[in-house]
Amino acid sequence: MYVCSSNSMTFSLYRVTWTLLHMLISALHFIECVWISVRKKLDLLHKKCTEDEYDFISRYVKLFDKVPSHLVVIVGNESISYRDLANVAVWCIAAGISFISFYDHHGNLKKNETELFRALSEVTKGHLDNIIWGKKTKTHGLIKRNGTKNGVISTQKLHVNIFSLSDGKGALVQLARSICQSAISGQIKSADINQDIIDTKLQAEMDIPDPELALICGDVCSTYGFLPWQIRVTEFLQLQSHHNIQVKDFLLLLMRYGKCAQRFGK
Amino acid sequence: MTFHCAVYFPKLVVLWIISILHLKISLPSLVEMSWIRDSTLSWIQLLCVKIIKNGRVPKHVAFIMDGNRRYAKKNNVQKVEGHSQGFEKLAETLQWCLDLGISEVTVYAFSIENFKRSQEEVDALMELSRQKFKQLLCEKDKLMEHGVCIRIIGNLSLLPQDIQKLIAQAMILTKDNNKTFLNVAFAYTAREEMAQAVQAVVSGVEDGALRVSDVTQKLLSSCMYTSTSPDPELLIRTSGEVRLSDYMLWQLYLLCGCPLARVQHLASPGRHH
Repeated sequence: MYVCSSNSMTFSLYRVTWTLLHMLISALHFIECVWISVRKKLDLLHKKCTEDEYDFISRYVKLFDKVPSHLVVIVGNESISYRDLANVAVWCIAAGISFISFYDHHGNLKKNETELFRALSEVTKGHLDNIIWGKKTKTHGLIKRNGTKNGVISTQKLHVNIFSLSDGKGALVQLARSICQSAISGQIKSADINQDIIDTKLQAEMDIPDPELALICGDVCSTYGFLPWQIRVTEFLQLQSHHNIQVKDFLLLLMRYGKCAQRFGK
Repeated sequence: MTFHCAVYFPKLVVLWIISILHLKISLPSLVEMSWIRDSTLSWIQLLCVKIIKNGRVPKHVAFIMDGNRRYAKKNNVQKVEGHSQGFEKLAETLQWCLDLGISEVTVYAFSIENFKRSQEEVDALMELSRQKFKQLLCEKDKLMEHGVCIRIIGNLSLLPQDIQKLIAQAMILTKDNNKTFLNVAFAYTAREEMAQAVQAVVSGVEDGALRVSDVTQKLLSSCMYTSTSPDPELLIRTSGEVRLSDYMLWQLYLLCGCPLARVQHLASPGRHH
């Protein structure tokens, strides 16, 4: 009996220690979050409207070794701030990034695409010529692609896409089903199926290059089920929050991406 | 600068406290070059393990054991020595997982992309794996004692015949063990895995064994190399890189990732879930 009670006492002592440590780490985490939001508010107060953000970004990115051609913003569990996402899109144009994808695994961003459209119109002051709505948006096909304005061809285009959970594994399942149909009708044999064929078919459907950089919003480092096939060599960087994201946060992330070295297995 | 220090300070405090308790890098001794070894934790570390076990511990952890060549370069040794010491650290990590009660571990040992390296390095890696698999078979008593089930996942047909044979022997030997699961991704890439799953499913439909409507996420998952394992809950990449590098892309679905391999990070799922 004595042995049993001493064992259970030791057991509860470890439990208590664990709980205390957990509380301590949670408290420190909370203080960290509060500190960051206070800092952000102070930054906003002191924000000086100096030079044009567009010029600032285009000059700054020239210093980086590389800039991604496809950037993804994974919203995670945060509530969506359309204005901030629109800002990021516009900064991408300035940075020379050609593709931007927004991923919300809940599917709310896809449902409220018009909100993003509205926010982009506001931020670009109606000059939406640089923005091409990709195949994964409802707006795709609704807007006539017009590359010229006043006879001048605008060079830097940004392809915008919105993804949700069903575009990941779901798309692969759909692809498998369509290949099955082709196999039944004799157009393809199962022995012919390989990585390249699947890649080509997915590319045709999505019309995007593989993402090179993904920004995960929030403090949980997770892909939230984003496009499993396409994220083979994507760099994942944590972004505390996309709410009130500033140009310098954006540039810092691009700088970190610019520094990383990829060996591709070799 | 101060902004970043302020953000990282609380994290640093935690890391410093536990780094003091962190396992020291042990030099491999010839006697210890085994897959399963006795616990090497000091009493403080054992205490930490006992405490951590009260929280939620992941059932399945995936590892990318990265950085062997950079380690070799930094320490002025041959690349193969870097890989060998990488294996030592892997075996140690497995022991920590056993101590923490993590029942399944999947390790990325060799990617199909790694075949693109120089013939010399690929041959050296194959020779190292040959030795390790032979050693595994020699340690079968220990494996059976600890109830370790070894599974090698990947496109094994790309490997030399004799290594395939050793792998098959190891898997057959331990197939009925069910206390701990060690999965080694060898000649593996996630895309190849997903492609072969699609191929298997299409083949099933071709043969009339399946209807098109039977093709679901669940069916595809059951055709993956990892079909008998639950999805990993945590991914740890030892080099600090923040990419997946074609590793378990289908399975790493709503998980937590950690770019450092330290004992305290294994406790972090308790924080987020």
